[in-house]
Amino acid sequence: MKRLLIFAVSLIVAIAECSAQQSIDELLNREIDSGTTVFKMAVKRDPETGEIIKRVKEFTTTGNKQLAKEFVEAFESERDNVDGWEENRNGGVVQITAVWVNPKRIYTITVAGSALSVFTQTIYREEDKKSK
Amino acid sequence: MSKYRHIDSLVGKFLDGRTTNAEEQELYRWFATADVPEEWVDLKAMFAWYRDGMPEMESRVESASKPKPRFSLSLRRGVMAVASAVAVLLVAIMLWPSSREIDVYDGSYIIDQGSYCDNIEYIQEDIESLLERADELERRSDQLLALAD
Repeated sequence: MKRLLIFAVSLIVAIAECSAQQSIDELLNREIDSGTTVFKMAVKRDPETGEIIKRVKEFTTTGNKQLAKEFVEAFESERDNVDGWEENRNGGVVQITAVWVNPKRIYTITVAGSALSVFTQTIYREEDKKSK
Repeated sequence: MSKYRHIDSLVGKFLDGRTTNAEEQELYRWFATADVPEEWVDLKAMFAWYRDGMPEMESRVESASKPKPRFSLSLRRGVMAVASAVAVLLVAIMLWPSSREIDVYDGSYIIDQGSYCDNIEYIQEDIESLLERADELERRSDQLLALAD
């Protein structure tokens, strides 16, 4: 019975880790091809092996307050699952940073009026100093 | 058979190598025109061959005197083709290290207002700027995590 309980808890934790930031990613994927945005994907690889070290995405758009609201809600829905959280609200500006570890993922949203910027990065392994 | 006695005698001398040129010419003429007995059919062919100047022998001598190519033309062509392929392969191997240099930004792209671009030369500045901001954000997040601990 004890083993079963440990297994169930491990499974729930694993599922939670897998689904972390999923709602933000889904929203990003939905909007990438909308045609009224700028989406940048930067991939950094190990110059020796070609292995991906880091993947960075930036999504920016303006004039869509509804979309900005959806993204803010998606971030807020992840709050209980994060390893680090920082939130600043100042007038019409909202900035939220959410951090997860293993692998390290850093997601930031900035909403200023109708301008929206979502910046995400996944770090697959720490860079060697020589490859920086 | 008595009518062939003279010819038989000449043939004997010929085979012994004792005939004169005139006798040999007589033999050639006789065997070329006469209706020879069956047992001399082979001799008829032999004298015809001598009379014609031993054509096969000449061609044999000729072919023997010419240096025979060691390999056939198709074989030589094949060898040349293989040698060329090996040369190209060697050059490719020599150039390989430069062509397999890893592009550290491979897989990066930008979609701007629906327009897709993955030409690294064109977008490199944007990609490097993005990665610099990512580094900065990573440092801030490390501080955030340290505070959370």
